[in-house]
Amino acid sequence: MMSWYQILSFFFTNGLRIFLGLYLVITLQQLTGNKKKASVISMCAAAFITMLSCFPIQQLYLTGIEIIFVILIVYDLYAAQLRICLFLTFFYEVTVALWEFIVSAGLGVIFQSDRFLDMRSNGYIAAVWIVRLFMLGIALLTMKSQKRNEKLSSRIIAGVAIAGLLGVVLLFGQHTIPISDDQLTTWMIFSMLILVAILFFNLSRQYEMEKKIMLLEKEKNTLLEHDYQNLKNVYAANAKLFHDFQNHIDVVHHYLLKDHTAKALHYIENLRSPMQEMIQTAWTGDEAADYLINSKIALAVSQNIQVATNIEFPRHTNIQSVDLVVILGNLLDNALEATRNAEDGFRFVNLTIRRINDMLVIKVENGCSAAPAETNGKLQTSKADKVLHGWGLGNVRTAAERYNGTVETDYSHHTFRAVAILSFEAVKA
Amino acid sequence: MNALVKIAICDDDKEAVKFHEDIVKNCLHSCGIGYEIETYTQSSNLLFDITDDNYFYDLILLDIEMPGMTGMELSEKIKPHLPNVKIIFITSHIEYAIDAFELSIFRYVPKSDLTDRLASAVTDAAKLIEIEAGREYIIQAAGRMEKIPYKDIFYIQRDGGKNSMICSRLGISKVRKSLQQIFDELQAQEFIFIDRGTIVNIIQIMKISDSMAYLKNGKTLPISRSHLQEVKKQINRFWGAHI
Repeated sequence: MMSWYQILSFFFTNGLRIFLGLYLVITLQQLTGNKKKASVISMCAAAFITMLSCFPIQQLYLTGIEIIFVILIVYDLYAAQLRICLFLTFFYEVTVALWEFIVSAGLGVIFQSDRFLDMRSNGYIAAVWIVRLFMLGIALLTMKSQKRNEKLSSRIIAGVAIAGLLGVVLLFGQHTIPISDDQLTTWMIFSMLILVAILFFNLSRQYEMEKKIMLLEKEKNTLLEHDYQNLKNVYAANAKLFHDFQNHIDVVHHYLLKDHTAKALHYIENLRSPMQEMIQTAWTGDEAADYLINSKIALAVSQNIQVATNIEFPRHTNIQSVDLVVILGNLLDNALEATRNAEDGFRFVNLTIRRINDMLVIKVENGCSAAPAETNGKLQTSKADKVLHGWGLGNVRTAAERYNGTVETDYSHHTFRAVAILSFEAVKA
Repeated sequence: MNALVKIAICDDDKEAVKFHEDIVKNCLHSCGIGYEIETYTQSSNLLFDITDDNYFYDLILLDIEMPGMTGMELSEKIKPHLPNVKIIFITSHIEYAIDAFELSIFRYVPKSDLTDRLASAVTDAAKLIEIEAGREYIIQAAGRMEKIPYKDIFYIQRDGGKNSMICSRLGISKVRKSLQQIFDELQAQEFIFIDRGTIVNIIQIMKISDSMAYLKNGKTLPISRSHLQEVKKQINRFWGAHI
């Protein structure tokens, strides 16, 4: 039978273990969810496991139940992925158990007594508390470093795993207290497994990140390619014009000789059309962005959409033209898409680009008769092809975040407004 | 808000001055913004009014290509006297663009597209000046009363216990009120909390970089992690609504 203080200690150590496990899973995956509920449930779980541990149940089963609890909490309240959570909590529990073993055995060696290894002894409880205090310390350190926006957690985790392996190796070498070779070998294998698991986790995380970046790049490239294609078409039209120049001159000459002024004029008017497309207004001084704006305005005009611009773009900033194209392209596309089928009063798009202090403000407004559909705080596309078009605003956001920026959307008085703000740095030309 | 926007127009060509003045009057009338306009045909007169007679202007319209002192030179000389002035340059060149380094130059307006571009430049500038103008925070303590214009406030910080200090262009003023109390009294959307102990004036924020707010007076203040997203959002909403 356990005495009351043992039960109390069990309750707190279990509680701490569950709590810190949750913290680990949540920070590593950067989840957000209901913190209050999670704390309450984890307290209940701790109480439940403490109660179970009063009965003669194998530690293995208790750990299993605990893992299930943690996974249920993150799955239900934090909408986490099951597989990664199972992976993380399993190795978390193994690491904690490993360290409880190492510390209790270590204490046993120091005090030359093997009663530290007995799970019901006070010595073991002391060892568990030492481990918990260390865990708390690590958690506090991570929290602090996160406030300063540093990445400390991955280094700490690797350090803990390597130290664990060293601890087991050291225990192999001692003869003060009897520990069976089987037990040591098992822990040895576990500690190596933990190292492999960390390696695997880091690799897979890196892979995920690279995949995301690749997708973004691809998206950006399609955008650029699209605009490049447009430009090429205009150039091709002009090249043709030059090619036929001699012939055109002959025709006009012929008309003028015969005093067919009206006909000559008409002929020249026809020739001018591709030229006009080439006349570019310099909006931002950034060629790609200017071309984009011009082509979107041309598109809008052809669809009978009113475009008003108020553009002032600072020179010598660190804003990359690809990012500008991603932001402008997506926001303008969204606005044009929304107004395409709108009624007459709502067929307008306003583009404002302004410098405010060291920030660039890009505002795109468009008319719409009703507020756009939203689910879970995210705007829904009205297009049928939802997979590709779900990306637009996300891309804008990623591009803006590169400049410590944000994107916000807002609807009021039949106007939908998207605003991107980027903080820039002045760079020497 | 009844503060008038004070405007100077300077061009060596008399007719141009008149033309610019008409455009400015028209567009400010239609926006309902009050104004006072002085006109100059000699850049040196404008300069002396500012340097010697301490004339104050919110907005100056300058022709870049003037005989004697060019608009560029003039603006350099004005800057130390009116650090917050907004300058709109009117030029016959179209390739001018504002420079990221140059903060007092508000806009370049090409003469080829004067009517539209000047009107929108003046409206934009006047709107910004209006946001900044007007209200004052009044500190009343035994035997003293201090008025601090909102636009001059950089930030307000907790100063131990229930006291606060307001850092403004006028210096540091201590107030025996809690930060929350001051925040409630200010009643203005340009003031936001960037952490539990600091309120910042959005119009003084040059930029946000690496969780730090860079202010116009050169000060950088840390934004707490719990506030960062909200601060960025509020800056976005503020400028989104005001430009």
